[in-house]
Amino acid sequence: MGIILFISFLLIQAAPGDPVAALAGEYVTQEYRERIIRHYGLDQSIWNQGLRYFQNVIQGDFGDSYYFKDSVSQVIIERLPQTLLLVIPSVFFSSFLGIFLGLHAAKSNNTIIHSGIPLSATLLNSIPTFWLAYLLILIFSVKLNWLPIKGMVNPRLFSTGIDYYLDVAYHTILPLCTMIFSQLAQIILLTRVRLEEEIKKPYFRTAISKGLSKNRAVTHHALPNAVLPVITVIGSRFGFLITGAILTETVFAWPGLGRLMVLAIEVRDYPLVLGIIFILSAIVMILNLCTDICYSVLDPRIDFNRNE
Amino acid sequence: MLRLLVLLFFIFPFSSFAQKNVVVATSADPGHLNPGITTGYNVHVFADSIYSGLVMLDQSLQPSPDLAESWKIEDDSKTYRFFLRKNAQWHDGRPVTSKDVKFTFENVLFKYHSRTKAGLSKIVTEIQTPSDHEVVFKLSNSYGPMLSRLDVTEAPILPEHIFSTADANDHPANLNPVGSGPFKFLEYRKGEYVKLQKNENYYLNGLPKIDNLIIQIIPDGVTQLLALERGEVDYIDRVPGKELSRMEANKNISLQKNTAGPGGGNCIMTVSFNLDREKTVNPLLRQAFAHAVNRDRILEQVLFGLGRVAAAPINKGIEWAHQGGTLANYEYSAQKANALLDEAGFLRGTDGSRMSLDIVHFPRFNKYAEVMKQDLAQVGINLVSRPLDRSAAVDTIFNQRDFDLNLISYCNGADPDIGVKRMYVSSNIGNIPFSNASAYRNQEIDQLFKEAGQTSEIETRSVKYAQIQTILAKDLPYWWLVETQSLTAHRSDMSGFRSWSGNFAVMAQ
Repeated sequence: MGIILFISFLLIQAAPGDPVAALAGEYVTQEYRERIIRHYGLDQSIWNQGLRYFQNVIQGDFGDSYYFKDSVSQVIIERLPQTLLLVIPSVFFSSFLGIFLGLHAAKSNNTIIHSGIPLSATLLNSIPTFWLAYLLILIFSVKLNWLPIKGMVNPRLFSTGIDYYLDVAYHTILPLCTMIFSQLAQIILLTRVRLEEEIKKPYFRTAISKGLSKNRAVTHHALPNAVLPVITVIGSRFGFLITGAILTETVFAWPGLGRLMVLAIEVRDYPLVLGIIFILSAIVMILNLCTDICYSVLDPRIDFNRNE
Repeated sequence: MLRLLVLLFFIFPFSSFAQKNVVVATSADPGHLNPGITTGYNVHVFADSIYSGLVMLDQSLQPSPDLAESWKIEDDSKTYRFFLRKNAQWHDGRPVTSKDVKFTFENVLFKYHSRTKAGLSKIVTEIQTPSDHEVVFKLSNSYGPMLSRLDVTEAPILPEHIFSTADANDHPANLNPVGSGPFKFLEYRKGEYVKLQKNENYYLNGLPKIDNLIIQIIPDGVTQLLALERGEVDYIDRVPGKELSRMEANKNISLQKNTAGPGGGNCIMTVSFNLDREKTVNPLLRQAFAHAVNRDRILEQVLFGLGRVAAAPINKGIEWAHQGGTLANYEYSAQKANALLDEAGFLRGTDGSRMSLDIVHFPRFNKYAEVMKQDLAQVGINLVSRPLDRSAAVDTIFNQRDFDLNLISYCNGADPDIGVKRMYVSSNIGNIPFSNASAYRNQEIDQLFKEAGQTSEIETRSVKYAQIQTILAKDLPYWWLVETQSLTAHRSDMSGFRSWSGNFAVMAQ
């Protein structure tokens, strides 16, 4: 964790530019520039800056954001739930839907389902996320007039209590669908490919020859084996998704962490960038642990308690 | 689920509102809401509605009363005496006094508002407060542009009783502002919106006419337009030129074209030549460049007609200073450009190319670089585009000085002393963002700018600026491409937006 933060610190210091242009606007004078640089301690050597930063981080203080003039942890805590509101349900839905559809594609004898699902999945996979977002907006907001285009709430309404949550749910539908569709194709294709490999293996033939229906043999014997690498992929994509939501967040004006990251880098808000990297790496590490635990539950060959 | 959807479908889009809540779209977070410590557009577009200046500027940028009810210019415009409104009060109920004005200038603006600091801090020798409602600015010499530098964008007045407790740059009130403007601060949700509420005690009678002003952060331009068309948004502060024809065809939407706006108007897209480099220091090359670029095509293909070809180094929007026709000698002609380059000894190689020049610019100016690349290829110059993000571009241009050419949108503002001088005077060369990018040094120019800023007589000043422009057209330290216009759009059932001003919603209805 410390190593990640250290490397990020060096990387962002190496990026050209400083926060002055973003903080002051145009028409800056030399004296003003120096005042800002001094104010944030940017005139000191990189080692001094680094030392001070890491001393504070060890005490749990990530400093203040230059741009938001608020503590980094506060800024991130305000934004993280909004991103998770999209990421967690979308991973959940896309996993179950993807495995379900992949399973059907693999076991169906009907050619339309057997090749139709993978074909549509391949098509879906080739659509860029922002384009998909615009497509959904054009259909459901502009043409059908069912759903709102932007934001997490309708700010005109000043809604509170239950109305507020309903409003958030209503605004979540389109961005959530975009996120689900953007992940779905990969999961369908991977599940199907893995299942078809499993079906060719001897144990599956044994299962069929001992009298099981193909349906039952697939769901009870092939699926548990096939689904393991799918879980690895889902787990490893999670961290990517949190920042990968940038495009969805941008199109729908969704106030998430991805957009915050882009802004922080653009304005060279060093403490904020480092704070976001810290949080993201923490999340990725926790999720990797979760994936491993899932494995041990699903795959009896892996047992953390066994000593050999 | 379906039933819920149907229910939502009926409740939300068609609910009727007792209050008039206006939603405005802008593209970036403000970060904080103190217009006194930055000139950045992103802050001013939100915060200028919360605060007030001593004067307002009308559409032709002429001053009219705001916090100052009236004023007297005395002593050969070396003394400006302002009489404040007696009914003006802060959002917390305290009266606005001359002490607030004095405090704001001395402790905030002259420290942190880079434009006002550069323009006024050296000229204002003393700020006196003879009574609670009278404030006097003593100047070291007569200064013409004074009044146009006192609106809410240039000099927002802040409350002393709030800001005197800590340094303005880190004051907690930057996130919880108390102003005297038409709208009170309600809530800032980062990445989402800022909600402002009508100030019931506003000193201008009957204003504002709307109940709540909600400024929503929508980073994507296409989303902004779709939301405007659907009525989710009432006003967009910046519409891209390529959407002009689509917006014009929609009768629910009205457009306003502006040359000014909060954060600096009267902008010219300008190419800087690096005068520290061997090739670009050659005046013949710079003249050839001017002849080689087809500026009419840029106006048509990049700006979709929104703007005009620059006719002089100073924008036509500042009419009394603009010296039209100064650049008339540099008509578009590949033939003349080729002749000049031959004369300068930049001969074509076997592949037909004379040289490569790089151009540093923000990514959003890609199209300008493309058009210029095509034009310059005709005269044997290979233009290499180097798009860099804002911070990196500023560092490359003004700190490392690593460029042959760069492209910057220089905004001239309301007065040449604010936005023009900074590009040309030799004292402004160095690691300062958006300063003298070419590193142009000319003592005569330095002297003329100094003289033009010292007098208040428009006639004298316009003569000085005419001389300056003639010299610049001869020396050609920059090449001025096009004057850009910005486009704001609003729903046709609304009116009264003052889109040229920071205080844009005070009269909206």
